[in-house]
Amino acid sequence: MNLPDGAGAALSLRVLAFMDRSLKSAAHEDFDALALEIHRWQRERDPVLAALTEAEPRCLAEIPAVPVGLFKDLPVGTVPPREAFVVFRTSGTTGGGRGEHRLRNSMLYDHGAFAWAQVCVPGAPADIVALLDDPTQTPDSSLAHMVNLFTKFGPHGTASWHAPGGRLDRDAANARLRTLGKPVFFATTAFALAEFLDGDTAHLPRGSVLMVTGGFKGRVHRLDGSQLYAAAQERFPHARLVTEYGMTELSSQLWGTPNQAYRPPPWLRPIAVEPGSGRPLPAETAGQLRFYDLCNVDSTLGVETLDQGVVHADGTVTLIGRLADAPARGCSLTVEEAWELRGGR
Amino acid sequence: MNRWREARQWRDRLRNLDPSAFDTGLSPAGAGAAWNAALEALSDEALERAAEAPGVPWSSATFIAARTVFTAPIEWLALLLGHGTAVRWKSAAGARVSAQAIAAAAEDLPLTLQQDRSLSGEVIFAMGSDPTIAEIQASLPANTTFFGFGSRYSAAWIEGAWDAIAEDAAFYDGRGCFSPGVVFSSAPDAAEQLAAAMTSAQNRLPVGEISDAEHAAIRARRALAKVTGKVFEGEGWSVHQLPAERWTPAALPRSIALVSCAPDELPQLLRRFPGLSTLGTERTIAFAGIRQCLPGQMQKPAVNRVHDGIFLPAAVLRPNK
Repeated sequence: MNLPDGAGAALSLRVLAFMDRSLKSAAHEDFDALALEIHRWQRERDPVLAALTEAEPRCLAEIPAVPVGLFKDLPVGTVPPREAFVVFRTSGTTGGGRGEHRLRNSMLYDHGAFAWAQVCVPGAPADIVALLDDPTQTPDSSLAHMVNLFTKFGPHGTASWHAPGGRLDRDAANARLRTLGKPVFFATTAFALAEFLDGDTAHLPRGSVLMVTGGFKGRVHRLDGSQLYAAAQERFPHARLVTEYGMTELSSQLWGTPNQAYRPPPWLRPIAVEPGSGRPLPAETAGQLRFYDLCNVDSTLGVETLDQGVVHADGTVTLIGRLADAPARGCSLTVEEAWELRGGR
Repeated sequence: MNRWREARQWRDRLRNLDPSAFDTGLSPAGAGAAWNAALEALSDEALERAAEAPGVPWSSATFIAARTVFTAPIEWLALLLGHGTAVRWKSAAGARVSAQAIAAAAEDLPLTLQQDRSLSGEVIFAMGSDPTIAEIQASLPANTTFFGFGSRYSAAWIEGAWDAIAEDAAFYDGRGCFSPGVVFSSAPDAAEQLAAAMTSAQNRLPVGEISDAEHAAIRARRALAKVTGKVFEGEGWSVHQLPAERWTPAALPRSIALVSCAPDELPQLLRRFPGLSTLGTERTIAFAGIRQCLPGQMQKPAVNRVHDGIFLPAAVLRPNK
């Protein structure tokens, strides 16, 4: 495990303390003050962040949020590639290269991901059945890394992975579910779930959790989230359906249900901004989502997504989807229009 | 039976329309300039020359339009209609009003121009993203003739024609595959010159609507330029000066990537990305298979041209056996 310099280690410990105390509703450091300190420390070590900082930030919203696309183009963060102990990479499905989120170690990531999942999905089973790639085969998948942590929900947790190379292995997943014969934490992306529901499925016993993550926009297809959730609930009536929102570039996740806004942990602050100017919007106003993640000590505190959502007054987030799109490159029709032409879907 | 006389009448009716009422997303001045340029290209002389292209008219055709350039279908429809082909066309989402106007202008003329969502006809022409083109092609019966025009980008090499290239970037607000998304130059004051020209272009043709995703893409590239190059920006426009290894072929509205390079480096830089459609240049540059034109003409294509490797007037005809 690599450690940051003295000041970085001290900041990491303060974030750990923030997490633990905030979860216990105990007095903790002021979020903005800690964020500003982390930002200053990061700026001294990250030329990308330094170049993006036009003036000394006086409040959270003035800390530059790095656009997610920049992670593909530049080495964002305080960890040089040779010093990274953990590297999470984006899938690269939206074109271009793969963005990298480099960590000196995964202590904050693991601590926060596990603790917040416990809060949001209390009593979740520790036996994982995942329509994901095996994290030992894809150590750069932050999603598989996170789900693998959940085997610690219980003392004898297990994990099995049923989408090697991204291809669903239905038979193996069903066989595993039938063999286990007890409540499971069934983790899947929206697209894998849609494919899984297209065929034969073993049932999920009462007490199971069905975790759905990932967007509904694909390389070719676009899913209807409401329909997918309804179909999943109909097929697995005894499972508790939860939704998760995370990104490779973030160390923290938000959890919700199909009918409930996403809850960020206390150490993650979402802000909606006006896409044209980047100016923060008032609560309850739809805008482009930014996240300020205290656990991102190793990389960069602020991350600007290409997602649109509403940040509510209580800090929860309703995700609307990708930003209303107009193609930035060349002539374009959407695939949905092609489907329309064929009279399908 | 050809219908060139009626096609010209249809064109003349279009010339009398006011495009500022269309759902183009462009400013009224921007929509007017684009509309006029598209129709000026359909001069009697140009249509006469196009009519001489070798081939046999199709009896029926379907044309599927992209959403970025609302005038793009007009030249294709003009040629197909002139040859007497019955045309079905599907307008792009977000261009329904202009599509209705274009179709209405053919009413009571002996031309068959129908808005239709079905994929039928002897030949299908489609413009769109590469996945969309592939999707459409895969859905067609094997015996259907198909011309798909997928994603392309355009670039310019500029030595002094700054106002002209800024006008190209202002047309259609810089969207579409003919728009100069990236400008290369060896001029030491290129950024300052281009910035001044973009201001002037904005004064003549104010920018229209920009989507949230486009705004986000512009701000993301701005961030890249702040880290690796320089940012020049004003009301409604931006110039992102980038090192040669950092540009990508994105046509962002009123936002140009500017790259400094020597003339002999240009072909190699352009080969980094496939799909170059048009090169705007004040001199002829050895680069095979692409359309080259003067700055200021990139977004005003002639009808009698090679479009993505195909001579457009011949593309609307069945080849002679």
